[in-house]
Amino acid sequence: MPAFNSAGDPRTEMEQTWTGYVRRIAATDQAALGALYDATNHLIYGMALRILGNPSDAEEVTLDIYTQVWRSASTFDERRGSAAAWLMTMARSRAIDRLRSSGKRIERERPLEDLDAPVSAPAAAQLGIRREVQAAMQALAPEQREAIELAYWYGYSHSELAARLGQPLGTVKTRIRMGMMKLRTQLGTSA
Amino acid sequence: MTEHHKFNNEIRERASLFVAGALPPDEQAKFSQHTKSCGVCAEEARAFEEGASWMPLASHGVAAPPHLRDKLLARIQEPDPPPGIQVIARGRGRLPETLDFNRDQTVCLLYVPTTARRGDHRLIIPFIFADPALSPCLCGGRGPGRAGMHAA
Repeated sequence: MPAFNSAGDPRTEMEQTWTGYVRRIAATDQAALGALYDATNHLIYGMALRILGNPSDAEEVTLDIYTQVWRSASTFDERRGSAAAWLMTMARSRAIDRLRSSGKRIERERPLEDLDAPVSAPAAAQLGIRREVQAAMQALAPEQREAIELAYWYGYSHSELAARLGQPLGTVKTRIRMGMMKLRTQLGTSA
Repeated sequence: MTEHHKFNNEIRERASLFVAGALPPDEQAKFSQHTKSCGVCAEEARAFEEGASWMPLASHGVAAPPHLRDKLLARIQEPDPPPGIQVIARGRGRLPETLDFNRDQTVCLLYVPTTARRGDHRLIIPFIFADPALSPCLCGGRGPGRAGMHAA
């Protein structure tokens, strides 16, 4: 049971809405796919753009992700995880696969605001969620946040991180494990 | 990797690295496969995913270009590929310079040239055939690691 599963929590409400869309998509409801797309495309496209750094690649990956959602919605099992986790994990994985297969390591580890892309204004509910998630990220030790962000957004493996950060492999693994534990406690299921 | 019956700290570390995307690609794929048969690791990975999956919401989003929605709704009208066939790319425009596929697989690119512009092709369906026997065309793309072009 997600730790945030309490009435009135904007993440709970958003999760319920998205889960509803995915259920309807599983029943081949195209309007539901459109609704999920409308609610999430800024996150998915933004993620793809941040990882790939190229609008054309980001568009293709975004299309692939929602096509995969359409084709695999029936495999989503809400007892095994949230719709947000299902969608975001799928999206990140697709974008990182594309990045790795292109052989182009991003040299542009920079925020979306620097990618010359119009930043979308989030809906009020998502603004609250963003603040909550930002607070959880800020609660990480800076070295934990750095290691997690480089791995999550730019596909660095632990050994690449160790080389890049000039730290022993064991230190890098510990930073990631401890940071991920904190995120899990604050944003997800309890440890 | 054998199925685990009991939780331990190594599982926790591996699952956290997996969800952060910090395992090397081959280990990432192995662990992903492992979670399909190991409930202990799957549950640990799921718990980390529930936290990490919110990370994208900490950043500013970027709205996708308006035409993408129509493109998506058109794409889902297309029939699913036959079983055993994986569509690795499709679209309109020039053929991609490179396509990522496994050396053990057979690739077939099916495209239709247009007269709109020289060198501009409508790429219909590039197929990867996990099983060459499933190939519905006779483009010469049969055999592991071989690519074939089918111009219609």
